[in-house]
Amino acid sequence: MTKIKICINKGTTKFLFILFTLIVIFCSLFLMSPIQSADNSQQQITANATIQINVAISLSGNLSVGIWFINRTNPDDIVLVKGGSNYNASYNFNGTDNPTFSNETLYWITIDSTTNTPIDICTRTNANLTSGSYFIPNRNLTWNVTKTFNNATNPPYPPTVWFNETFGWDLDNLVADNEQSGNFYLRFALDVPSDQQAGSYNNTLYFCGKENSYTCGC
Amino acid sequence: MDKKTKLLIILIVLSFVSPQIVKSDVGVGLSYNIQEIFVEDLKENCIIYSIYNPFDGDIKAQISVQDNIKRYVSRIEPTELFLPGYHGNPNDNNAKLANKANVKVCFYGNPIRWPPFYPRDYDGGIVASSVTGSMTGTMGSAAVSSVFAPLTLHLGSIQVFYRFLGIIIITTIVIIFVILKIKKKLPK
Repeated sequence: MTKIKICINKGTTKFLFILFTLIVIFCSLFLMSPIQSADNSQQQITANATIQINVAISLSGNLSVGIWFINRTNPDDIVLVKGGSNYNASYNFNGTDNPTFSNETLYWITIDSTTNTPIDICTRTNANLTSGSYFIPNRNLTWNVTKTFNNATNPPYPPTVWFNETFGWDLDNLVADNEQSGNFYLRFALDVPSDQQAGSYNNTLYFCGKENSYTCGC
Repeated sequence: MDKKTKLLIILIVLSFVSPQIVKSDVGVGLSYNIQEIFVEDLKENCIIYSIYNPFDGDIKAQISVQDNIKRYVSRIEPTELFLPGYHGNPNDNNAKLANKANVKVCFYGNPIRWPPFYPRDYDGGIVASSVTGSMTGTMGSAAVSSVFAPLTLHLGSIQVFYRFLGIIIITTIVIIFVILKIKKKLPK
């Protein structure tokens, strides 16, 4: 068997040591310098592009303050009963400002005329309707939408589409699909499970306007 | 007619009128002209967005960044702003768009990421939401409207390469020194 012996004398070691020290210093300086200059390297992109996209949506005044549920046959009764179905959102049928229609909903979403591209309006909840550690599942909270028509029968009641916690790709999450203008009228309802614990249940509904070709990201 | 009767009549009239008071529409608009941004490592790059309010209700708009680009945000200025309602001609889009405020969203090319080279493109977006306050009902849902501007973030990788090159050189030096030390200690 042949053994290979590496002989390094003291001079070579010193030379290597100095060389490596220089490399270390060089590397350290190289790596440190961009960090020190990071604050001075700020760039700003200004409006140079020729295409400007505008997207604007609004909630009707009655929707923007939130929806709450009442007993439709007895609107003054705001206490809901276990096992009750299709509890009515308070402004589902209270429209009085348009003499052409009766019983129109006061919940709607508007795509403003400044919007210059087709958009979707997606909806989701932040969570189930929750009261402390108890909750009413999202699928018990339902909605329906119609464009243009707002009367006693449109949007249809009771609603049939339930909420989800994610926007996803599901068309059921879309209040508006590839639209550039108009009003989208909504009605909401709530089913209370028969074994539901007492409490005041709340959550948040999100309505997100975004370009049609992109996923909902709000 | 005595005072009490007058007051009663006023209250009755108000009770009829109050449901018919039209509440203001509340919403927010987002104007943008950039949908992708390139950020070099260890550098900051910013985009200006216009937040506008074409609706009649006053709003407090909140700005946030969503999805995979979120972790590269260095600052958003401001994150919240007040925009008064627009009460001009509803058909004048230029006037509506002028009721705006600018928001600067900046990204920093943080080179410490894993895997070190890929992926270099991240998708996400900027969200402007109108905040109107909490819900007043006893049982139900608060409602929030938002608008979304998609954004793809491209991160540079050249500095990362040099950073790793430095680590490789330093590691090699350490290994060589260890070998030399061991060599020295070994009996001849």
